[in-house]
Amino acid sequence: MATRKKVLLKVIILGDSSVGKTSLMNQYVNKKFTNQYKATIGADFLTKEVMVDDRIVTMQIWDTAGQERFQSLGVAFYRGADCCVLVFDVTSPGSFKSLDGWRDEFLIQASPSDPDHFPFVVLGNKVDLDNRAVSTKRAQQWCQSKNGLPYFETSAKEAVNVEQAFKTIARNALAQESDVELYNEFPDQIKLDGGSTDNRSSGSDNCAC
Amino acid sequence: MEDDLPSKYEVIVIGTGMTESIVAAAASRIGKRVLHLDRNDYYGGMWASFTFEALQKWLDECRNGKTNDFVKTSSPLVQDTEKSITIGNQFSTVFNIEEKWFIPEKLPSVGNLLSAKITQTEDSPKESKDGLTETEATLKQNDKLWCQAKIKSMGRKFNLDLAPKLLFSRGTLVELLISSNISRYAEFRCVNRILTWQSDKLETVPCSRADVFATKNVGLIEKRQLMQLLTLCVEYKPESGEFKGFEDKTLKQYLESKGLTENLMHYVLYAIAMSNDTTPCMVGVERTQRFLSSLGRYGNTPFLWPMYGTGELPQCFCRLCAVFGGVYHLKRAADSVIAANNECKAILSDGSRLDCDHLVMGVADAPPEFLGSVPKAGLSRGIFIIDRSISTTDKESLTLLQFPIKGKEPITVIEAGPSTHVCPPGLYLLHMTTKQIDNAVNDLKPAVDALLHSEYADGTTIRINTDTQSTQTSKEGDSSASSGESNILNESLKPQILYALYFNCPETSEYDLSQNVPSNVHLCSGPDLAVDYEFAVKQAKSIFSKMYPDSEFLPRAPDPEELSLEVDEAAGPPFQSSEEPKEE
Repeated sequence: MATRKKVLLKVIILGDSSVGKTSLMNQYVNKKFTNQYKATIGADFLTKEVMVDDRIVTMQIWDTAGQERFQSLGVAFYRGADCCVLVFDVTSPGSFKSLDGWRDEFLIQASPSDPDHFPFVVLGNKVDLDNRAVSTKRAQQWCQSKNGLPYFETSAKEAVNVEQAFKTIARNALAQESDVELYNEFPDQIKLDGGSTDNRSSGSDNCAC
Repeated sequence: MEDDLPSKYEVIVIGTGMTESIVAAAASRIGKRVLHLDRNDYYGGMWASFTFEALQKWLDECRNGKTNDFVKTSSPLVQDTEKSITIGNQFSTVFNIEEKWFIPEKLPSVGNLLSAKITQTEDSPKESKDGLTETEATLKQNDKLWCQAKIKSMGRKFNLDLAPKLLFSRGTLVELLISSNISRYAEFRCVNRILTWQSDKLETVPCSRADVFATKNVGLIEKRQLMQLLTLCVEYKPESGEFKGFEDKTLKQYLESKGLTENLMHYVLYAIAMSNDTTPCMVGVERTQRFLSSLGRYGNTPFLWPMYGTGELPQCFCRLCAVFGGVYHLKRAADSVIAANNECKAILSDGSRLDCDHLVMGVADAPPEFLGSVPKAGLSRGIFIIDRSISTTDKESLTLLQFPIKGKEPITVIEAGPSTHVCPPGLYLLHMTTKQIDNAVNDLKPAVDALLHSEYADGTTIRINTDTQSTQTSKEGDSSASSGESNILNESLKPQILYALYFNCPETSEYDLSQNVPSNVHLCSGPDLAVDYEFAVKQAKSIFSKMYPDSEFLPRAPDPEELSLEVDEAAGPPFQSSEEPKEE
């Protein structure tokens, strides 16, 4: 198995509308935050190169593009995810209650081969706000009940814990990826671009006879 | 349920089929406020791909013909001058459904040895087990016995297309995906084999220059003839006199005039020109050109197939629409269209009035009176889960076969395997599509009889090893010599059908859908007969240019990095300026 292969990790962020999914992404990748709430217009996915245990990996973080608002994320969004980040707003008990639903939705739609060990990471966002309504303990208990999911309390606004959280996300996604790679023995996937030939596989067979 | 759906839009799109989704993306891309609804809990409508369970659910809905009993003629939301027109019923358009299993519900226990073998393969918990090389998998597959319970237990690994189609590597959809930057949402595989059915056997069609030279199916002189003909078609320009006199004739007549052997004629006519005996010469030449120009861009055939099946494609366009602010709501039906003075004003949905300037909808959702005399008949479809490829080689293939039917449209056969994530390891999916003449079962019978083993398999007999099959099919020149004995052998080598589904659905691509609709309502045809997406893209473009004649159709979307910076710069400058210096 080629070890020098470029690693691309797909991370998807799930959670109710306005819990700060896009802000977390933007804070992590662009080190920027805006208070102006836009229901995710223009947010698609962001990529960032990170070092995980001496390996350079490209993390591709996918936003819901607002399609979560009326539970309308299609199955295509979930394809091939290496890690799923579940976000709630610590000031909104409703968004915390929704975590179960989002987790289930992910497991059904993405149907990972080993659902019990699929890497989820849970983020309680907006800890900078005063009107906190979900205690750390409650959140930790929930994470514990789901096979001990990693839990971080973050503030996208003040960049609290964002870096650390994504580091864990990258590491856990990479651990998942190495399992998947074995399964992904089929080399001929094609990404379209303007070029004449863009076979992702470098030396795949050119003669089938 | 609380409803915070905004009530005013420039474009409302009902149904998430391919054409509707392209139009939605194009409108959103130029900044229009778009609402995109679908009554189903999945994307794609008649263009969807289903897991096995989801397919069963869809079939149930089709059989029960889910009726719209919500018919409220007077509503406070409809003004006196307006008229409320009830939306159509998508499920009533699918008919002649025939579903059949060819394997037992559960495997009978026939001796310990056998059942031990079964449990061993059935319950292997690790995915990685299935990541074996193809040859190992093929060997393993021969030991496998299938039952319904086993198929169902792997149901999520299926992506069963209602409308299987391929993309020409240089066709309008590939160009559109690239130019709009939507291609980043999808991955593809190249169809790597084009087969044809000639003299009662399958043959690989040499289509690229390299193939022509490498093939053993045609002789040396034929090779030269074929190369000459293909070159002629590629380089054809209207000025040249090559096809003079054939403008009113068929492609077949032209090929005959070139003195092609029957063998070559068959390859060119049915496989490369994707034509039949009656296709006009110039249409055939155009198709040949299109076929040849798409060769070599991504692989040795002109075609691409989306990973996870064709149901992914509408979702890619929907995502772009959403990224640019389009509002998505699945599981949300439109109940009626409100019109006045031959203009659509709004729709009623779930007790809300949603205003729009333009309404785009799929034919399946269209009120019957919008459709006028558009007939229901159209496509005959067959979906088959089979236990091996129709022509086994040592490597998994993705195959297109145009199965010729004398005097009629061919049956388009697409075979896809597990590496495209459309079925579990050890199985293949076979899709058949043709123009409806009678019903799906009868229309597809010639290809089913020729290619598949369709007797009930009781699960007690282990089928013959497939190793010899590849040599069998590639062996050349013995077509007439095939004795009765080898016919029996052939029969046992054919893939066993495990599960078959037939249905008919409408094909409206030839009808003018603008005749009976208000001026700002735009209907989208469902899947058309052609193997490619040319029609859907063309229709989407024409609907878009009717709505916004002066706007560009899906200009390139910026890369995510460019985009997020834009957003940041537009918002919250005071915060940035105070915060940034600290960071550096």
